[in-house]
Amino acid sequence: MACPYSLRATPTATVSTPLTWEELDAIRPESDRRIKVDKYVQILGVDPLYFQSSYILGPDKAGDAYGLLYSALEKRGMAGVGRYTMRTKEYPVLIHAYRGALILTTLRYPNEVIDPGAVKDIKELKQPGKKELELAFKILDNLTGEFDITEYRDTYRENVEKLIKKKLKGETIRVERPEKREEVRELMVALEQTLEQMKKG
Amino acid sequence: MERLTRVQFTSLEKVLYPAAGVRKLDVVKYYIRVAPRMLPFLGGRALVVTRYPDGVEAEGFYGKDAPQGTPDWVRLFHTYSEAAGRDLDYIVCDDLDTLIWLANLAALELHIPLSRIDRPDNPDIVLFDLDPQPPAGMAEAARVARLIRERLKGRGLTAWVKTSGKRGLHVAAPLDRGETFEETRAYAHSVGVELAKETGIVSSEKG
Repeated sequence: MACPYSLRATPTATVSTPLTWEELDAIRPESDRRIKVDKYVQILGVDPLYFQSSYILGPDKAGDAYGLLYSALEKRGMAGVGRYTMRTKEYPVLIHAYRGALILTTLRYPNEVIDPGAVKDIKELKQPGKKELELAFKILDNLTGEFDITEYRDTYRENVEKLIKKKLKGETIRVERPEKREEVRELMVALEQTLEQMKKG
Repeated sequence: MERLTRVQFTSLEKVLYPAAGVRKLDVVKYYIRVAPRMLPFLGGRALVVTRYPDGVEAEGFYGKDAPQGTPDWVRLFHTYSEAAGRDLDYIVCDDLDTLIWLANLAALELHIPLSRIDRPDNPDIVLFDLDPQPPAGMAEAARVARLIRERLKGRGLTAWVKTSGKRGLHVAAPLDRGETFEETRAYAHSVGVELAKETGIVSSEKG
């Protein structure tokens, strides 16, 4: 018998993997792996707050049907809404077209999303004054740009990697104390200062 | 500097799994990582390995006899092989060095016999190899695996399950080595025949 943990000579370098009996229960008949689509909706009409995790769907021997559904959804800007069971939980899901692939995105149930209007502190907020709002708009105008996710990097991870490299070289690592947090300032003063800084910058 | 291993590595950059981009170096690293869990299963047994020096897309070859150039620190088990019709030196992998030496030989698949070399005629494992034939798949294999587990429990045996790494599952239970291969094989076959009658989806091959 292939020894537990032995590699096998398969294209994807699979391994003979020990399982618990509970893990084995996760293997269910093919029919349960179907995604049941109830209807098709305009993708822009779906509130992104409900989006949870996204997975790329593979064509799985049905390349023609896959390609057809992709093209239809992509050209109409629509998405399928339905249900899919992962592990033991059933999720509402969205099937949508993205960069040549069909994507399955699991959605939150309505009871998993809190209505912000029900939060007391938020309900009791005062309306801002006209002058304050005008200043806030100026800031918005100054900082308006195109959304570009590549401007953000996982600096925590990069710092940890740097730290590990230093440690490997045998360097001493100094822990820097974070600066004292700035005191909370008057809202108007803070807004003015922000604007001032942007003019300089 | 003290040497960390007695193994002399060769062509570590060689790609052994072209579709997955897995090099020999990755295979060595993988076996180093799983060694603490794997060695208890490998140790004390006469191994049969399948080597793929030109990668998995080329023909591999199956080897029982230790190859020429086997270092003297590799433990061997000298015994007569009925299949080969002559005496062979089987590799026994008790330690990390031997495991990564095997990886360096591109011995990707490491197969263990169901008995240990100190009592080669008495199996310490009973194995059920569930290899589903289409249209049956993993789900059917899982169903049969659970039925086998119940049978083994009825005999006071604790069953374990693992993927074969190909299409199916292996269900195995440790034995106290009180039986011969013939007796264990007859028992396993009888379980297979019973399940065939019960489920209609099993066929038992005497092996």
